[in-house]
Amino acid sequence: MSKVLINVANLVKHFTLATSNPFVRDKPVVRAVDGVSFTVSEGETLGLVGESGCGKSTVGRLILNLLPASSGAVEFDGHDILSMDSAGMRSVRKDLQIIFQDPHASLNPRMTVEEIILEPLYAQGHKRTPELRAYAAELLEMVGLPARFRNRHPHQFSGGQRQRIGIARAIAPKPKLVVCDEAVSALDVSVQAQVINLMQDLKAKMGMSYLFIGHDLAVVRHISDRIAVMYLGRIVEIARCDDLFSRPLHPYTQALMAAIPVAHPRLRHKRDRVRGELPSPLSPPKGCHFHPRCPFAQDICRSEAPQLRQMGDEHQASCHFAEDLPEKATAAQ
Amino acid sequence: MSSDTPILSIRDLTVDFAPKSGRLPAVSNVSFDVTAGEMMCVVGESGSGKSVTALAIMGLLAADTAISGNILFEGRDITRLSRREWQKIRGRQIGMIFQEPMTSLNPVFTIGRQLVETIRHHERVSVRAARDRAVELLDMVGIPSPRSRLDDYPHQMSGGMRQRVMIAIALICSPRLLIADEPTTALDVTIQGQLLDLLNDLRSETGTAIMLITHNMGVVAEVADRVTVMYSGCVAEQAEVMQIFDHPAHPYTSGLMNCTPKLTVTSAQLNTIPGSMPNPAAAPPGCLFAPRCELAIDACSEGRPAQVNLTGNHSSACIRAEMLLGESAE
Repeated sequence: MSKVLINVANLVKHFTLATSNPFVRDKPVVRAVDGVSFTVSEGETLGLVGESGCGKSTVGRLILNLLPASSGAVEFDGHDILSMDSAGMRSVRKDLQIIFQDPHASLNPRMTVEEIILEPLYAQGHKRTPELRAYAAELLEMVGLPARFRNRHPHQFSGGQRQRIGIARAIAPKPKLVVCDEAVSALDVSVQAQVINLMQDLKAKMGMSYLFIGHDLAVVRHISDRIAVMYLGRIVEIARCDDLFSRPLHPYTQALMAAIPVAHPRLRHKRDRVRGELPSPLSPPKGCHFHPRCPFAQDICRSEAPQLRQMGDEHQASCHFAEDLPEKATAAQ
Repeated sequence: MSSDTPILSIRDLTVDFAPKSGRLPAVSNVSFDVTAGEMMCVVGESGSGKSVTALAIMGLLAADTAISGNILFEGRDITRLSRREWQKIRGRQIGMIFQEPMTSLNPVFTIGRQLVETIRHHERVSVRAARDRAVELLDMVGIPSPRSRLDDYPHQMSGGMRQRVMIAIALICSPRLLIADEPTTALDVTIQGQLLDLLNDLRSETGTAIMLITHNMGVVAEVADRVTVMYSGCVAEQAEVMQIFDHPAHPYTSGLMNCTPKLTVTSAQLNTIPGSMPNPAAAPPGCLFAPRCELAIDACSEGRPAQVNLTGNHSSACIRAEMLLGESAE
């Protein structure tokens, strides 16, 4: 197995809410990320899936130190990210980049495309030289845009083209890890496929790793080597792609898979939908966070929080009944 | 379940924006029917004209848009109605739910008040009776403990719950037709599944026809009876759902299906449709899809292709449709 590039251990982020009541001593706390651990190896893509509010984007921000973590450790390429000052972070960010979801909001409308994609290099102390400008042109070609567009502004591009510019900016410093935070979610299907292919080509060419954050399991499966499933601030299951899909060992993973629309009308079937909605992260349920929605919940699930347990080669799940789940799920069908 | 009489019939609908400062065609020569009790899906990407078509049906387009063609609702042309006549149809006989459950409810009123207001606008009933009816409706759309939720403000509800409230409001007058414009797009996939089930159940219980607008072929595969595929303001293809998935007769339809990542297929590369949708102000002269089409021949850039009737209710606006159909039959 190749070298571990980033090691995230027991990462926690609590947001304390302001309250107008001066007599409330314990201010409400949102446990957005509540003890998340994973690793990403060199050249690997780890998918991070979950529904809105599960904390997946917060994880992305924490490991780039864009948000200060409450506790935990992030070791990236030998550096302890969470204890770094801004000067130290600047040198690390050369290797650690991010692509954002909204291609309309993440590009400065007053800058030209060339300035946008060279910005990370200027931040590293590079000067605007003819070589650097040639490099910008090369980057544009790499992401499938003609180099003659380099003096245009973001508003002159479509959503898909803007996302390509965001990608060019992220790969400009030749990073080792790129966090893709819902990078293709805002795009139309036909454009989404183009951008996914582009991201895979670039990865093969440059040998970088991705942390691919998304909510669409089909898209995440397509691009990832391994997948971590998050629910209410915790990872509930993590496994190699094929393993996760052929043998999901957490009821939430099963529910997510069952909710994906069928690929052909002939495959329609009446199914048991997961009931209810994501509980408020302000007052998460006791025990297993998923128990109020889980069809298999027992007494122990209501009182004891399950730990992430090793269930096989590179397969971990946090369900008290992970061993029996495959049979239970088939019996229920 | 569905009978053959169309309750909505659109013929050659054309919508142009800002006709004074230069023509910007949003919808061109769109024709389709929705029959009673059916689930008709209109599928297309951003800019395909699917939402503009819905707004035209509801009479909700701005005054300076030029609309031509006919929209027949139960045999009556509704494009030239007065404001008063419109009010008898909108909400009462045609209901609509929008994509954004966050912005389509009024944030300063409780949802109970918004429901009661709408009920009393349409029916002469007391506030108490209207509240009872509101509870009934909220229960019908699957909101738990509906009576206590009446006094909630929209911000106290999740996106999925708000969309259920929107559906409840649209159902007040038991409309004959419900237009749902991307009702699940802003929602999580588990909630999307719940809402699609709900729409399907409501349709079979009340017999309301649903025109569901979506960009997601998965949603189409899940619920549609019939499908209209739109591209760049035009109808590309129409057919029964099985036919369109088994034998697509327009290259855009098959492109759309092929580039959707699927759980069952894992290949290194996704199929793509190269390029992007043309700018409506500078549309190519021939088939609008020709610049992105792998099968385009010279004839494709000579004039807009007309709808070709294939088998049964299947039609396609591709001059090579018969060839495509022959290929997929083999």
